[in-house]
Amino acid sequence: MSDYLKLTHMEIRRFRHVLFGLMAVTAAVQILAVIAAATSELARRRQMHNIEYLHGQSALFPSGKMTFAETMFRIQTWYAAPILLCIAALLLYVFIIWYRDWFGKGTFIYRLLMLPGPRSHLYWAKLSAILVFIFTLLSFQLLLLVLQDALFRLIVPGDLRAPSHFSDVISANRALPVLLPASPDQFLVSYGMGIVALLVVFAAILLERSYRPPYGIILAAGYLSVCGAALAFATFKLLAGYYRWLYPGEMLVLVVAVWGVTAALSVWLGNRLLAKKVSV
Amino acid sequence: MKRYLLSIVLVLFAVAGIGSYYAYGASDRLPEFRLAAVQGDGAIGDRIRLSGSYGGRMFSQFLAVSAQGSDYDRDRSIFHKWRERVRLADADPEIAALIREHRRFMRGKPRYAWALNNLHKDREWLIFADAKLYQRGPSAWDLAATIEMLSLSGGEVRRYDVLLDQTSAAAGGYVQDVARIGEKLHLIIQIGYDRYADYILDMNGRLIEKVILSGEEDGPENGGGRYITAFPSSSGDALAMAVTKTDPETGAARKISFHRYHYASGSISKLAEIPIDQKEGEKVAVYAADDQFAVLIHDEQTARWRLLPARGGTSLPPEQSAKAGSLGGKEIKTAYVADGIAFLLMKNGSRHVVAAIDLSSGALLYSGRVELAGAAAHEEEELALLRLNNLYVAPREGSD
Repeated sequence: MSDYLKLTHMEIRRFRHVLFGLMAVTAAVQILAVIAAATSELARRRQMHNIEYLHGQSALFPSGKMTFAETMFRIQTWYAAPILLCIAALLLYVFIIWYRDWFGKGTFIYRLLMLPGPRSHLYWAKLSAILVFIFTLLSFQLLLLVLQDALFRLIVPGDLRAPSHFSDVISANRALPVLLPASPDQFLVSYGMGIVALLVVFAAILLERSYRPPYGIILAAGYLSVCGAALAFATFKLLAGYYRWLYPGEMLVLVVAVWGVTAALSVWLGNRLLAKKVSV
Repeated sequence: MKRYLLSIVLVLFAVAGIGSYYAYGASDRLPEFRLAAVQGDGAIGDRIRLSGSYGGRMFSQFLAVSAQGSDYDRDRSIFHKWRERVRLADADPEIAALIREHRRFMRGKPRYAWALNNLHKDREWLIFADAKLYQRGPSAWDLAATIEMLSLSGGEVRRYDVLLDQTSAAAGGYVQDVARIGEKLHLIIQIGYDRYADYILDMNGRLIEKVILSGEEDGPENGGGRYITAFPSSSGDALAMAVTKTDPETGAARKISFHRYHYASGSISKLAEIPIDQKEGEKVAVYAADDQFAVLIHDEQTARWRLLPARGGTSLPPEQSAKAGSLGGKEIKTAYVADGIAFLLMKNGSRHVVAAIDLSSGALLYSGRVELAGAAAHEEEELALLRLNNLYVAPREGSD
């Protein structure tokens, strides 16, 4: 357990600069976008000197006053861009977290594999680190929303603004409801599926690392294709009710089984390869 | 411990942030509405479900309101939504019972309520029939049926694919009723909007005869604009049809005639005819049961109706009517007729009001209004944000 925690901490430390960099970029871009949107809208309304326009109503914003949700609605691209950057960086790091040990300075993977204790600790440490990064960035996004709301209230005078529900603020931007679903069960299902996908990629990376080129690449690509096809079939065909001859309970069991078996197989394969097959 | 401070802080930060978000989400409740009985039989109110949207948030929130309270789409679990999508949560109780009793045979059969039209069950057989139109050429379609039969005594399953007809109608192919009279199987199939036919087959899936119930050459009414609504009888030996004759230019209903087709004799009897003068802005609802027919017409202010006994031969009964104002509303939004009762969804200012009227006597059986549960101080404000447009009435308990 201690080895696992040490390895996890090591992985987190190795990514800390990138993580804080991503947080800084996200904060800077989103805060600037909120400031720019709020001040320009405020200036426009003041410039009009038109009470009717100042309190202009719309279907989405019936009060006619400025709200933080409305401001979020206006800055879709600028707000989502740093989020997409974080997603891209994490997706890339899913590969880098393994390959840097082989291709980095020295023979770091050699030292890692020679550590006393089960090699599976290495596997779980890398997985845990990725999850910590994902959920830290999510939590940071939530904190930013609270700070940005406070900033919005500082910029817009009280008589020109109306309060926003936090759920409205989340749903105002197209990217946020995907990352932060309103219901906790949707959160668990979405991120659970993401974790299974991560396990499949880990297994593919270890397959590639375990066999000489081109066999490793072929095996990894084959494993990704088979698992991807199985998961896609279970999710988009079975779960969508395309196969009427199955009763709903049977469909659900089958879908959960496909995802569960894929996860279990990937964990088993990843750990087995790491323990027996991976070479430096 | 200090050595691991970064990891500990990040993990705690992640858990606290996401945990707070969902804790806040759980406390962020949308207003709770309910349909409260004002007068009459509360059991009628328990069958009513209104649906629409609440506009108090940036995006409309879909909800249903009943005597039990409000049910927001947002608050439903993804499992519940999925069950609804694959048609289990709203499966008809009769179909649910058939699935319990004959799970193997019912596998792959549709589970929504109107799929009951595709099923027939008697003491000897459980029969399922489905029909489809296959394009054969330009404006030429084959009507084919799949019939599956389960012998309830021996467990024998028979399956037949039968070519029933060739038609130029590109729409329809809907099975409206399946019946077994002796050793003959009757499939009532709608083709297009104004044509029904009874395809009579033997128990080995061979087509014996086709009886046109309405169409270009034969049938209860010829020519002009019209549409037909079919109502299978509860005894399974006849089909009631309401033929609505429409003005070819305006599409307004001009006449509704009720007919009964008896499967055993093959006879069609015209039981009643009601002249209609549908004006602009008026909506028409037709209802037929084993013992009575009804036509209800309403605009925003008035609902008027005629109820006739289904045996036929009697003179046209006088038209009855009710004003929205006398029922507690100001504007009738929609109406639904079932079990000899007219259910009206109305608005009175910002408040939604429901009334149930006995069609035979015109008596008010139930009236209810949508209320905000809890803080009454904001009631008017919240009710003004509610838009309920749909009225659903659950079948009476113990009814067919």
